[in-house]
Amino acid sequence: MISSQAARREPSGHPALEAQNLSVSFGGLNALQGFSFQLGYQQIGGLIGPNGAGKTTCFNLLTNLYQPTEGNIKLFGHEIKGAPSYHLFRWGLGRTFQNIRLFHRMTVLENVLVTQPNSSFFRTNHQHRKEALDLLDFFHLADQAEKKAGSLPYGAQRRLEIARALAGNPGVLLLDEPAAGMNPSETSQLAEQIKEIRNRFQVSILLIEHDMHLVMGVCDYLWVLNFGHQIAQGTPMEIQRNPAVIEAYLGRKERSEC
Amino acid sequence: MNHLWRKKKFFLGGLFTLLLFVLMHSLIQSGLVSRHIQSLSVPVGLNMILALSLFLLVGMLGELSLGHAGFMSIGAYAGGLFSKAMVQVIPVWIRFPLALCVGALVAALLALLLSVPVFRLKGDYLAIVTLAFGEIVRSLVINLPFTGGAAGLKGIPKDTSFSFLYWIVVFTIWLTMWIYSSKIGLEWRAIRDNAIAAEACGIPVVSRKRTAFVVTASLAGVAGVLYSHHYSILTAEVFGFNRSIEVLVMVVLGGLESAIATAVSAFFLTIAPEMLRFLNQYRMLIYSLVLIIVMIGRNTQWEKPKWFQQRRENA
Ligand SMILES: Nc1ncnc2c1ncn2[C@@H]1O[C@H](COP(=O)(O)OP(=O)(O)OP(=O)(O)O)[C@@H](O)[C@H]1O
Ligand SMILES: [Mg+2]
Repeated sequence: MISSQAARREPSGHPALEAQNLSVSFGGLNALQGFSFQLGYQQIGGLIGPNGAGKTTCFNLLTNLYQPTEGNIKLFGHEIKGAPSYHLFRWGLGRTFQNIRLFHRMTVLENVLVTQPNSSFFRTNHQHRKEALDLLDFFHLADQAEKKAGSLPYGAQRRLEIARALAGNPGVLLLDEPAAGMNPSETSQLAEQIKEIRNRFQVSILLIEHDMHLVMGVCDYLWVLNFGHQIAQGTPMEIQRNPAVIEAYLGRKERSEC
Repeated sequence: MNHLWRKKKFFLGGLFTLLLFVLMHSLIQSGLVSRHIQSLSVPVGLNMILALSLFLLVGMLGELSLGHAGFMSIGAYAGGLFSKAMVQVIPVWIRFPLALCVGALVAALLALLLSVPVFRLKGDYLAIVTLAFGEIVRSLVINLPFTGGAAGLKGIPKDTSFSFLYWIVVFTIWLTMWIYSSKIGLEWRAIRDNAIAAEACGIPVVSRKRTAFVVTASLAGVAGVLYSHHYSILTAEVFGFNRSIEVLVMVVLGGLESAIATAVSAFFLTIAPEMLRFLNQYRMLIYSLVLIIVMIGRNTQWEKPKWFQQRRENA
């Protein structure tokens, strides 16, 4: 369907990823209602909103873990709704998970080797190992390559998840709360790394994050969800001044302070 | 460097297996080894093959099968019937390899048929389906007209030998180790660790599970062919539920992580009842006790990191 790697890299008039009127409900609860967005080439987009707003649900719809009741999804201009998750990955849609889902009994290196698209059906050769180690090096994980992934500290596990997705050579990367559980210095390092990832691997990134400092510093464009509805979109500057957003967030703050 | 080391390891491993073969072969030839020990080499070798093949499924893919002996039975009967029919037609040196292929293929074919519906189901249905499968095979063998029924299938040519068994065991160990570190093995282990992430990382989970199931079954079929061509007589009872469990115990005790450990575990669990023969009627009691203790010891090593990780995830 999406044949060449080049098709993922060259702007062709289509957004890298777009969704129209995306909706799903779970037994009467509208987890997501008519959400539409367009993520441009090598753009970093942010999906924010209070807990339970439907952000993770949106990712699960995009990667076909859930089937939308309504709506369309296009990757590089191609309709992908209903395509199995593994096809989506091969077509260039990589993701990470909010609750880390590593291959925890495999080594760090193996976690990356397994998603490499061109490694042969049989042995993973020398070249693949070298590429994998280079990638791990970028995430400061190369010296732990032979450790079990499950034994890594939390922050390193999050970085390994990103590395694993990147090993598949994606054109679009979905990051679900990449900074969750990281300490402030790890978080600011991650913010730099996300921008570096965009430049070095030429990917478009859509990220979910609660750390507003990271979001405002990294994202080019934001969509705000609340109770499954989009309540605002715009640049970080616009969003910070948006009264609906302030209300949604302050409302949440008051609740959590009680 | 890694590359060279791998080559070296491969070479040393090959040399070791060759020397071991020469040693064992000449010991048997010279008559220094008692008949009893000699006859033990057959169940040891068969159990190693069975355990390794089940290790692919339980250890690497993380799926449970309770009917492994069923596939062994199919291989044994298919290969046995083939050789019996071809006794006058094909010379032995080509007949036995062909019988091995027939046994493996028939077992693989049935596994393929079974795998089409099973892996469509979500959840741990494979254990239940394979359990039923093993029982169905057993009762079919008793009732079908051409399997000799309850009396057994007799007159299968004794085409196998120690050398055949030895090299097939070596091949199975090598194959299992090779699969373990190959791309397909990585994919199986990824599915075992997290099927949702595996699917989202480009691995077609259902189709990979089918492949693993078919490979597992065909190796069990090979073990069955070896069995029937060594003992020359087959009865359905040999391949019952108990045997499936016996093999599963070997795999679990082997630690579910390494082919070599699985083979070693199969080796010791096969000879253990023999070693404990001097205990007379307490033999099985002690055997079970040892098994329980070893399992507990192994599990305490395992649980710790898991518990640690869960706490982290909750945090
Ligand atoms: N599989 C499911 N079955 C039923 N309800 C679900 C399911 N997945 C999500 N939900 C519900 O949908 C709503 C949105 O959940 P979602 O996980 O998308 O929130 P979120 O925006 O990612 O929140 P957080 O910031 O806490 O991660 C929640 O009310 C949740 O309980
Ligand atoms: Mg979420």
